[in-house]
Amino acid sequence: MPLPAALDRRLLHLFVYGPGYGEGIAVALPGAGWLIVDGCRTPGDAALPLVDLLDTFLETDEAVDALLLTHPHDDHFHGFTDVLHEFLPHRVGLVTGGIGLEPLARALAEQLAQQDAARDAERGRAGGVAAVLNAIDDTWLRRPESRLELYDGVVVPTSSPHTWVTVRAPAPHEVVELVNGHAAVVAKRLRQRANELSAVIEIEFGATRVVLGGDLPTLRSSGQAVPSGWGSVMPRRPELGAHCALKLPHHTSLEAFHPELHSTREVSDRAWVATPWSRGRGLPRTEPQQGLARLLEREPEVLLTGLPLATEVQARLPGGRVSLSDLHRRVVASRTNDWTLIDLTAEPGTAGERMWAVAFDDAGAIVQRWPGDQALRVVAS
Amino acid sequence: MPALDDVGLQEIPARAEEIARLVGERESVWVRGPAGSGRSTLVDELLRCEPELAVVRTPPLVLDGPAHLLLQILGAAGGEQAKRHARDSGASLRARLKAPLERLLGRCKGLVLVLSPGWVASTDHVGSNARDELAHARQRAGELLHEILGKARLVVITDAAWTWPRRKGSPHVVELSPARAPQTFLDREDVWGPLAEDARRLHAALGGRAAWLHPIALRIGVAATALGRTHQLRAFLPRKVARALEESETLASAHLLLETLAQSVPDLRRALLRLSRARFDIPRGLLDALIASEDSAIRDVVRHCLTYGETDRRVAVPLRRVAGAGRGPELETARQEAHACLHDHYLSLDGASRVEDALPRALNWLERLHHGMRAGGERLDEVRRVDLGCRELYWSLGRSLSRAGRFRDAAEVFGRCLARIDAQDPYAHHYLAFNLDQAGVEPQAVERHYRRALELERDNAWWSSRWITWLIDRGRPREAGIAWESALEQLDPSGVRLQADSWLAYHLHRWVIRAALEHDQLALARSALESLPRNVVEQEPEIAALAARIEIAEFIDRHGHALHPDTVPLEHWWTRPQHLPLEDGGEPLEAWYPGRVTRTEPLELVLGDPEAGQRGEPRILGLQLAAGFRIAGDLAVGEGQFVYAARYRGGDWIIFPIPGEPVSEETLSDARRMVRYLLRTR
Repeated sequence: MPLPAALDRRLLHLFVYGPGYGEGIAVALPGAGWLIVDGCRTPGDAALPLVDLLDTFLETDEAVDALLLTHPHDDHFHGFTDVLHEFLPHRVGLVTGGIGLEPLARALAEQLAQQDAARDAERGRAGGVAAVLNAIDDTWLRRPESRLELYDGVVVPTSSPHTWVTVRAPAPHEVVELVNGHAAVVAKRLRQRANELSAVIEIEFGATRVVLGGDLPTLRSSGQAVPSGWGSVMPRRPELGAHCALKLPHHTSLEAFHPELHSTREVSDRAWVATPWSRGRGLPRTEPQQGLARLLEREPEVLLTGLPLATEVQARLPGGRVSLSDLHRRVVASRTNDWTLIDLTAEPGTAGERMWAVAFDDAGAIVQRWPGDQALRVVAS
Repeated sequence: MPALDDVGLQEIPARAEEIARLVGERESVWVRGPAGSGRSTLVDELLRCEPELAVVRTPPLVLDGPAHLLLQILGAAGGEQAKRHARDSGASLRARLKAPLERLLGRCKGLVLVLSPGWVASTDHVGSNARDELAHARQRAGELLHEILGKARLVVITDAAWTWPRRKGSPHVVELSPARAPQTFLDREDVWGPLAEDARRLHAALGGRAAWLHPIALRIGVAATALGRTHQLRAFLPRKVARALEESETLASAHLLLETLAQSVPDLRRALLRLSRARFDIPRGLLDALIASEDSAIRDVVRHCLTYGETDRRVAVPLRRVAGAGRGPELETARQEAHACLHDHYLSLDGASRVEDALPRALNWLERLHHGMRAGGERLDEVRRVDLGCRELYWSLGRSLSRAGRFRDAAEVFGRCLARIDAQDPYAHHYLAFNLDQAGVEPQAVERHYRRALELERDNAWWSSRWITWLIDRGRPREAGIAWESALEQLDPSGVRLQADSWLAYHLHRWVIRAALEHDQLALARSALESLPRNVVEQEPEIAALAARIEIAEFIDRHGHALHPDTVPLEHWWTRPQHLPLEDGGEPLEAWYPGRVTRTEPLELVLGDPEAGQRGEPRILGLQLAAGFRIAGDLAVGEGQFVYAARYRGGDWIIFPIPGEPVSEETLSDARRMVRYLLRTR
């Protein structure tokens, strides 16, 4: 279903894009103003869905209130500087814990050096992150009023009189613990655990609560609890479990599951939206007991912008609705016949095709959903 | 001292008399000759014939070269007008030179201009696309020469490669031939001093062959024989040295011999490096001071073989080339020590603190500054306190500070140049921005001055390339794209220059592609590459390497992972590496996959499928191994490490790690550059 020609600005519109690698979110705030979180593009072309979206729907006299980078990972920064320079957002935010960009920069330099020593062609991505940090620094310097260092409790000012946007994680001391220390150690830590720095954004519009979970995990892959993770956030902010929409953290990975965040539904309707991650073994995982299965125990459907699979496998699923078991069959069928090797080949869709948009009123109700052409509704059965 | 006849310069006095006569008849003369043809001797003889000739000698052309020429002429001209013109007030070099040059030619019998290598006579092929300091120096030197070369009563002495511009008339041409010295020259104890026995041994080894040789070749031969003896190097036994000298009638084989000798005796290269810092003849006492820390064998070779001249000592240009080839911390220390020694010498000859006061001894003053700038430390700071008065000297000082890593100080010098000399100087604007950028401070000022330099000189490829790469670095890719389009439109709208040669590609496209690649701007990198003709990409190895990197980056963008280190071009990704064993324990290799470690416990790998890759349909595979594998050499593997995973018939997986290099301080420093502004955020 194509997006409408114009948005009903009495409503709050949430747009989530995930072409396969990268995630970008836009929120058209009720009344006026936009919030942009992270960014993505389609590999192989220069299409930037968030820029295209703003070109289409941003009113002449309207502003992007804030542009936020949840964490400095290379699947979240594409197009960030394009929005930054083309739409001049009033506020530009990044998780720093309130101690500036220097610790992150030190760790990033160390990471770049380690990649260079490995003769690593992937260092361009870390260079891209460096360029984004430079652009944020540049903007903060030129427009000091735009500076927004993100951590728990920071309010993001908007032009919408009906809306509150608040950062809910991480706590300042949690950031400091992650980014302080010897640069080489911090670099290694951040390479493995930058998701632990991820900001969580809460948007309140009347009775409607939207939670953007970033990539924040609950557990490390070792099973150890993440100090800054959902186990820290939810006792502090239990109300986040009572949401109307949740951008599912970390592409539905099991490590990001938290029973209070992924609570049993208490409202009549709500939206859980996720994007894929097409690297390594990819996310979401479709096996029993993995992330999607756990989520579908608590919510009848998960809205996926796309799958980390070859286009021909996922394309044109009837009505975009697919059961987890069917999906898992397709995934298994796509894999190699070798007894140990798994086919991880994933093809990106176009950025505009892998999208979900949802409109909410201020009473906590979903007014409309718009899937992109390759978006899916995954249901338990 | 050897008589002129002994070294084959017997024609020089007659030549000098002829030239003096021509100058007396208001003619212009161009003397050209190769190294060792007696050009310096000719100047001495000319002055003997006509003491009222003014002589101006230029240093090898670097940034301060034009100031050298101008100030020496102003100094020789004398008078208040010359003093006024000494200070750069924004007027052109030609305008500052014109009247004092007339005055000089009116006061003396003629001007002898000795041009060092690198000086060109016209700005025709330099253009305003000057990339670096040499191109800038050439452009400004060309302005001065343009004014001088049309004059009567001028003697210009150059090397054999120089050409007289056609538009500047037809001077009398005097060709000097390379000198030839007889082998008997090797028997002169007064020439060779403590190396006389080595010279005799070389003479004996030469036998009757090559009866006449270039004096510089003979000197190098004796040096090689002597150091072969003292350092017990069999490659430099007299008969081997003699054979090397016989093999060519030109100096080429002697140069090769010296280069080989310098490789075998590092102390010699260091001594040559010290010597070659002197741009003009130096007194013997100063020569001794320069090499005081070298051992006696090296000192003897320097005194008797590598420098020559009857009163002052000079170093032949070919020896300078060998000296310049060395790199490393020890040589850098020697370089700075030599500059310090030379600075102190010239400071004792002229301690003027402003340009006007330095005119009578301009050469000494300029050499003091030149060496002070390169000596570093206190001497460099001493130069900073001098009222330089000429933009070339500000540029030179700024570049020296920049090379010393003192970027803020360098920026301050370029700022002073703008404030005191010319607020419209594009070079100073550009390098003010560059040094602030290197320091990672004041990005708004960086932007302002980069922009201003480009506004003042729109067709400067170098200014464009720095501006575009700065925008990429600062996370402003869209503006970089616009600036890129604008630069192409300005510099080569029809693509003719790119077709003509690879200059523009090397100085503009190469930098833009590299910066775009380093900052994940693949579309811009690809677009810049595609704008180049194929033959240019093939001819320039660095651009060809960047093209290969773009292909790999696009693969990663498309498929998610690098499967080889970036030293392996994409076209070789699916070819089995030679060092991968074809069998293990007698069992043949069944399958191999390139890839890297994504997790160590349990071991997880992402791999490429070579068969699919060869078909042009790359497939990425995942492999998780908790058991049933071993790592070749029992090495540890780390996350991100490149490996080959191989399976042999009936056996386990064997993982062959590809070792990475340790992170060096230099690598880390390069990486820090990318976030330098952030590291200064407080």
